[in-house]
Amino acid sequence: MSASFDVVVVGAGPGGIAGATVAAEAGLRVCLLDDNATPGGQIWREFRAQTARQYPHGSGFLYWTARLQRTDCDVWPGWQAIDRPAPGLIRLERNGEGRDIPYGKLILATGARERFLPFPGWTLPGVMGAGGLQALVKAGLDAQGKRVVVAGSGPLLLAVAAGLADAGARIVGIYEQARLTQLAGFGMTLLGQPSKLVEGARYRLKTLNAPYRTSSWVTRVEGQGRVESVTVTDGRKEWKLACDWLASGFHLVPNLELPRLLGCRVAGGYIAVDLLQQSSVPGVACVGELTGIGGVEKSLVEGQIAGWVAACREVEARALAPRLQRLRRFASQLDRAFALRPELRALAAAETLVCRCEDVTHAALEGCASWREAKLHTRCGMGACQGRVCGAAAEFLFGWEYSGLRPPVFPARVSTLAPEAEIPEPARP
Amino acid sequence: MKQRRPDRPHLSAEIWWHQAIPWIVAHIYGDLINDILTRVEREPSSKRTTEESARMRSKGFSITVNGQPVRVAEGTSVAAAMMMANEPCRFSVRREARAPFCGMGICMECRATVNGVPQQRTCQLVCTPEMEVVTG
Repeated sequence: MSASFDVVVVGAGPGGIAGATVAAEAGLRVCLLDDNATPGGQIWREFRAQTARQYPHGSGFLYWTARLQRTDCDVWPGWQAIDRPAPGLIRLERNGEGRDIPYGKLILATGARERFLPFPGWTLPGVMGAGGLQALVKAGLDAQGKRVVVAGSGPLLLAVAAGLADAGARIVGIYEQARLTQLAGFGMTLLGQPSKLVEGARYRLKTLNAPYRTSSWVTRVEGQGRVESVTVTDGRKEWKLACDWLASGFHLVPNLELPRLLGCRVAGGYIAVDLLQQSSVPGVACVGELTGIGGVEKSLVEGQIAGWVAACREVEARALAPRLQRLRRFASQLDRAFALRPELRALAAAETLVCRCEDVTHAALEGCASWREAKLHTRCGMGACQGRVCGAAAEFLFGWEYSGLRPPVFPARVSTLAPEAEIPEPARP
Repeated sequence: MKQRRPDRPHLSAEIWWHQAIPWIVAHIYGDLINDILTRVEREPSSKRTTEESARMRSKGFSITVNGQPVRVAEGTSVAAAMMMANEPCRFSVRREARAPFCGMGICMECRATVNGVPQQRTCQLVCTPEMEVVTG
């Protein structure tokens, strides 16, 4: 059996790295784990020390990874946290190998995923998440010459379009569902943070050949076996665009599965935490997107606070509170600016699949009254993704509250779930 | 006695800003400010990165996807390789072809059989030389 740790940090994005670094620097035995092959999370995905400078946020990545490397923190890439079989024990899996790790405190930094909404044709190969396509391109997918429509909602769209243009793709258009007035209000708040304005402007600069339209969204995707065209509307008229890929994501939703499993209280879609990042469960801190979608800066500050608190250094943690409050305000402004318009609820046709794992149609879900009923009657959310895609969609489409989470929070092998169990020999007559 | 001014100057300045800001910001998301910035700076990075990725692939290695060889650069994910081979990752309950979707390990659409092990999330798996990947 492996060693125990004072602090286990789940998720090696900016929040997790900052938390692990600060706690390890304070002398604690820290384990930082992530299900990806390399640390960095989504925003620092595939950053390399030699090339990081040319990316936005690259200097932050270099600073924090260098600081992390100087500590004695154990970094475990490729490990997925799947369960907490007993208090103070976390169960992990990698390539079918299971491991139970005793811990003193937990820092959860599981980040966020994109919110996906169903529309006719969204299951065709070539339709991807916006951040999803960016991640695939960073992971070696050749985008050279591909015609890409970027659509959905959120500040990510511009960053994705810029990244794709850099990789040689031809951006056909960028379609943001939020209204210009909503965005203008948000932009107003950005004037206090010129670095974010400059970042946005730089992204736009790289995609000047493509239109950026607000109050516009994709209504359907057509093609034989793969994406051939995308139909976009502004609510009054529709137009069809020929393309190879559609990158579509509707802002972000936090990965609440693990904190929910531990019993952390959820309020307004996020984990409720105090100014020291502590959740309602003693010894469990939640940082980053889990407590509000606010980006890398908020994650770094929250991670540091959680790290200081784990090391019982509350004074240092409290010193960061003023910055934290400003960043949390920014997070709630983001949510308001990119709030989804009600028209998007009508996108899915009766035969459009809502649950991609179990192929459950919108029509099948219409008769259900709750998420639980939908699961029982249609198997919606019961497939391999465990409702990670359709759960957030159903919440928006039908107003259902997510319920019924059970371990493991990720598909795992039986041998991982019951390491000591012996499979009885079948009785022979 | 000195009379109090009815209108404090800093207050009116504030009101002016609040009216002007939405207008300014509208153009940040439009093209105006960007047009100005275009003249200020242009980053030539796009050409460099695509050339770089082509070079990386040429000195990479091959894997097979459904028996067909695919050349990949070191560090390429199996999901990216399957997309480049134009092969679906899996077939759904209704036998629809599915390809990578979320790109970050949560949607499970990119599950395929890798070196004989079924149900692997290919977007979280890095290609290794002579890897054999099969749809489904």
